[in-house]
Amino acid sequence: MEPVLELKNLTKRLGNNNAVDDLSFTVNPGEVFGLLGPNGAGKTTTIRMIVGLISKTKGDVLINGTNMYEDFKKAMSDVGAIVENPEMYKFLSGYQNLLHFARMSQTEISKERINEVVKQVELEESIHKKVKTYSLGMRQRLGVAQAILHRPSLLILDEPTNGLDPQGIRDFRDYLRNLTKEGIAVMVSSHLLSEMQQMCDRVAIIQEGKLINISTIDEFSNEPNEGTLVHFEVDDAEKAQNLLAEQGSKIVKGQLQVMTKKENIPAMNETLVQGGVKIYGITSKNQSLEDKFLQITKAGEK
Amino acid sequence: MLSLIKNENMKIFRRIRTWIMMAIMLGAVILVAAITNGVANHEEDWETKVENEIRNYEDIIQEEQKIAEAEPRNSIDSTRVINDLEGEIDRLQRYLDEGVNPYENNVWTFVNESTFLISLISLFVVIVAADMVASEFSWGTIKMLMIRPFTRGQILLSKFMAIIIYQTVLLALLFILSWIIGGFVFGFAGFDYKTIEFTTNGDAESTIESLAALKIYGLRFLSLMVVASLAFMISAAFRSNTIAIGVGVFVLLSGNIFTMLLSQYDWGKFILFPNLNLAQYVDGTQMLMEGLSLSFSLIVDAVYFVIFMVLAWWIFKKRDIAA
Ligand SMILES: Nc1ncnc2c1ncn2[C@@H]1O[C@H](COP(=O)(O)OP(=O)(O)O)[C@@H](O)[C@H]1O
Ligand SMILES: [Mg+2]
Repeated sequence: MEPVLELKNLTKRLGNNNAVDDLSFTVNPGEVFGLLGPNGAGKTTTIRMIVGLISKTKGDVLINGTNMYEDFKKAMSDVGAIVENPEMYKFLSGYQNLLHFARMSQTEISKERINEVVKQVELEESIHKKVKTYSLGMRQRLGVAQAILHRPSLLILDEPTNGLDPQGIRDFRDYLRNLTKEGIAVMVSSHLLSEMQQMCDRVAIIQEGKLINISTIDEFSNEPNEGTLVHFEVDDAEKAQNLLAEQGSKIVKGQLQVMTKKENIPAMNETLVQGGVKIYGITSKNQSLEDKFLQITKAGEK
Repeated sequence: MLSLIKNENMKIFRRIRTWIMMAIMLGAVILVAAITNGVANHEEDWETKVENEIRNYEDIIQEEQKIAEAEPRNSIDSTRVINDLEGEIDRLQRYLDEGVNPYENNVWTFVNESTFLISLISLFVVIVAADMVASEFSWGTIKMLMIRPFTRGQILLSKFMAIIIYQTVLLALLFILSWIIGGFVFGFAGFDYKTIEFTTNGDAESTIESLAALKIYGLRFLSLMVVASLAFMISAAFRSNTIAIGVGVFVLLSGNIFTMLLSQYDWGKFILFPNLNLAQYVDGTQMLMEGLSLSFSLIVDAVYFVIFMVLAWWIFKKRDIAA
């Protein structure tokens, strides 16, 4: 399967730093790919390079096998994007804005298609009003409409959930799902892990322009070697900590906390019991993606 | 490409600003018609008026001669006045001889008169051209525009074509407005209406007024294109449309001052502004600089036009579209 998007050692130097540093990954048809990183990580800069808004310092971008830097028109004919906030012509109506972008498509876009998309993003009622009267959410939806109008095979959305409420985010996720069923590849960026968790199939974490980790959402949530965080509610935490010192146990808020694999819990329990520690409760918590994200980005900072 | 131009036209003509400009044009033409009508000669028949004027000048000449005789020290001034007036009498006599009314006001004289309003069009074209690229940056829409399957050169060219269309519309509007309003206020006349025009060296020529107007419009169209390309280049260099418009209008308005300052130098004739007013070669207005000719100015303008367009393209092509 040919990837829809392929980045090869993409690098952008801004000032004295690499805002994007040797970034390589691929996005495949039918998947929602997340670009996750804290503010200033270089997500927007990466997207700007992918769509040719800014020049690259090094590397290549291939869209459906076409090198963006060699044949911009061919590469871009199959891309829809929103970079940061979707800015529209405020003195035009939503419909006129869509007409404007429809005219810039390589394939002919019919009036019916425009109406269909308007319906999809639920803007039927206000589509003929001037964009300056639109709310942020409506502008966001109009932005999506212009991005999907020409049925692109690659949809790039930079922080698309900005300004959406939780219900809006869920709707948006369902909407992306429907798109990917048609074989579209979607790349979304966000600085919020929880959103990525809801929306994406695969997530790349970037920090200071560098790729730190890339994995599927499933791999993320039950990565076996890292294990879970186990709390033992005991009468004598210090004694318990000594007994399980080898396993790297810690005392947190008067309780014993160990990071371990699930299958080790019975053995630990036995050790404590045999050592004369009274156990009132054991709770284990899978390390959340959020924790992992923080952990990864913290490691990147060192 | 055609669809890109359509888009740019939509963005020009869907803005209120554009319609305000057109309304101002309408107001200006009406105002000029009213003023012209106010000072027009309504009562006397024109031959009597010309004859009266000649007699009046002759009286003044006689007085001046007396003064010159009485006070020979000031005779140089008097001689100059007498010369001027004699030239004026010759001129008026020509009208009488040819049977042409110099005070005639009709649709074609008015169309010619109101060509000075093309300066207003220059201002409007500069505003629109300077805004053309910079506004997309100001609005942030540039990033929506540049992620389409078109090269930057194509986007830029479509924008410039839209400016040319806009200036054509404004020129056509001025022509039509001054024709309609002039016709109703001063009376319509055939395309072949003739009058006498005097060249700078005093020769009289019989000219067809409608053709004279057309020539002025044609030459002004070319000057406007050069002005537009200058403003367009400025537009391609700025992030803020307000600044781009400000710089563009400043350059336009200060052009004549530059010309006056630089007219003393030999190379002064190679700067843009004295060559910009192409109509000066046909409408008999005072030239700002000596030694220029229409073909010389056309060549200088063409060179500047190419330089401005290439620079605009070069600036725009290289720009990183961030923020
Ligand atoms: N024009 C610029 N000049 C210098 N540095 C910039 C410029 N634009 C962005 N940066 C820097 O590049 C880094 C990446 O920014 P950005 O791509 O916007 O991050 P993100 O979208 O992930 O929040 C930031 O550290 C930012 O300060
Ligand atoms: Mg960003």
